[in-house]
Amino acid sequence: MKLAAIALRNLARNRRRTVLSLLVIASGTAALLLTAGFVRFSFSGLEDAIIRGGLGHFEVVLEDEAALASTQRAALPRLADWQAVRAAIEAAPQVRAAGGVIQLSGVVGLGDRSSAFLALAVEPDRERRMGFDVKLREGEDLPGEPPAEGADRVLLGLGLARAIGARAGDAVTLMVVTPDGMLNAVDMTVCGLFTSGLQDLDLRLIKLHLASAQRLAETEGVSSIVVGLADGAALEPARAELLRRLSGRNPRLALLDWRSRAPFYGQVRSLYSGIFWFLGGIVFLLVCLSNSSALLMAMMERVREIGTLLALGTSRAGIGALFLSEALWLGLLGALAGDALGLALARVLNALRIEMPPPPGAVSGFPLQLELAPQDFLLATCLMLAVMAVSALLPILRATRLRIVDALGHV
Amino acid sequence: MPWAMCERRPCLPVAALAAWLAVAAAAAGAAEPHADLLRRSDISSLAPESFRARLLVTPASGQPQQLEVWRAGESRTLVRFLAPKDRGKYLLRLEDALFFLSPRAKKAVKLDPAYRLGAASLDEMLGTRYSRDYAIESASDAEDAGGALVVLELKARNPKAPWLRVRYVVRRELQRPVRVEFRAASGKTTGSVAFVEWEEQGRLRPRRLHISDALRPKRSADVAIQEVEERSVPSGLFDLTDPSERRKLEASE
Repeated sequence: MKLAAIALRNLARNRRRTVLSLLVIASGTAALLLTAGFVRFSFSGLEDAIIRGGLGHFEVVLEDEAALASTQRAALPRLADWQAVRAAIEAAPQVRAAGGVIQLSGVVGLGDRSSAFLALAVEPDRERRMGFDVKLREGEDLPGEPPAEGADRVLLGLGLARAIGARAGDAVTLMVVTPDGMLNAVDMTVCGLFTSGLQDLDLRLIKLHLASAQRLAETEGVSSIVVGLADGAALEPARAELLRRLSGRNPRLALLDWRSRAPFYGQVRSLYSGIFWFLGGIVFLLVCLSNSSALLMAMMERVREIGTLLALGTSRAGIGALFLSEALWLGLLGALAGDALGLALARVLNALRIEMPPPPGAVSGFPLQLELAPQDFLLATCLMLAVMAVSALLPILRATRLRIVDALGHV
Repeated sequence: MPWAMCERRPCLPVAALAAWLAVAAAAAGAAEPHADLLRRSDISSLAPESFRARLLVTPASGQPQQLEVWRAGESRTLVRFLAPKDRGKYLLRLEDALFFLSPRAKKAVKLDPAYRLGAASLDEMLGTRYSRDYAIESASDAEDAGGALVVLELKARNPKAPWLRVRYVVRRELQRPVRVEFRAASGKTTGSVAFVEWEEQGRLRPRRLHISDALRPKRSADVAIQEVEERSVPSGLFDLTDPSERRKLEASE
């Protein structure tokens, strides 16, 4: 305690140098916090976009199709007794709603223009209950109720609509190959245009009601059932509960979580984590070098003082502990100042709602929001203490190796 | 006076011309039997001008499909799907264009002319006029358990032909095709039609075909030609926009 107080008083002796050191540490801490906030925002934004964009938390598929990519399953809506499965899933307390999905591919035509499409057929009322959002750009969303025959409606991706010259209200013809290899075509009214958020996907994607897709594909089955969990429901307990409810069914069913169905998320996470640790490494190095130099200078200025302390009987370990304490004080105070600075900057940046450019392949930009969690502050503070401990190593070594006679005669 | 001319100057040009004519005549004479063989064995050109036929297409995997084919001249073909759930669905071929007609779509949907209905395209099922649309590039003799064969290598005269190159194998004695192999520009075989059984009475026509897809071997099909009735066909059946004649056809059953 006494050592800590002496170390603090030593720092106060050279205020200008201490303030400069604190500024360096605070800036590094704030930079780390802002980066962590951006990375956290990107992860949670992407996770939310994936889950609410239509993937849901879980997908229930036939076990023999679980290893196939969803595009490979497109032509096989083979899940037959799906209403019973859906009811069993929706009875689970963690589940907000579940809905049947069919993925189809085919050709959509308007007049002389036509284009290939990838269709996602859903139960819109259940999607809304799951909190899925449709980014409408024109017209209106799909109706919740199953449309009557002849009143089928479809949402077209922006790029696809542009390619065939379709607007809301136009009648288009959708043609697919049914699971038994036959052609079928159905006229549908374009109720709106939407974006998936990804430019390339918008060139092909359409959405329609499950009942319309079943009519088009001449099937009563679905490709899979998408499950949305209630707010705050943890993934693993929900998985255990759903597996319990789905066990013993024939044919056997598999439960896929959203992470396994969105490898893109894992790739983005790895990339951003790599960037974060790289930046963290640079900050660590800069703060380390800068403070090591400052601490070394402080030590060189106090050679005679160190000699006196040694002559008065202070142990070499005590001298080392004094310098380490000074470094840790600097680290703690600088990190706390950096935490405050980082928090203030994050708030200012969030309030400014700076529009970020669209990520590669995306349709629109997004407002910059930094998400800081308590553990980020703790981690940044611990990191700065570690940085300062490392920075103090060289000055401590120099100070503890001084000979008393040389030190007392140092000019 | 050619003989007099020969006396005055060398008659080499005349001799060369005569030799060239002789070679050309021999070559033409050799090619002619192959062209004749192709003409005689070309079942599409032997088919009636207008007819109604019933086909049963049995894919290697999947449900068999019963089809009714209406044809008026070479340029107009209507394929009607006879399964109850496919009632009102048609494929309509007008010249080089192929359309799909569905009872739930007001307008016809244009398809690629090479569209494969399950395992087979219309051209594979109904044939193409090889003797008219293809030129013989080369011919060779071969033999199998059934006897002597003539293998004709054909090249499309028309760039819009469904296949650029075709190997047409004919049983020499019977003057019937044994199989047709379809080839890409690279020479790779993409598919084939084997003529498995023949109708022995009346007009020459196959009774059963086996269609193979070399690129997707699991997508082969057997086509049984169950009935061919030579008759006039109402032109309203081929009307792209007015379905009334087709509705009459549906109602008549």
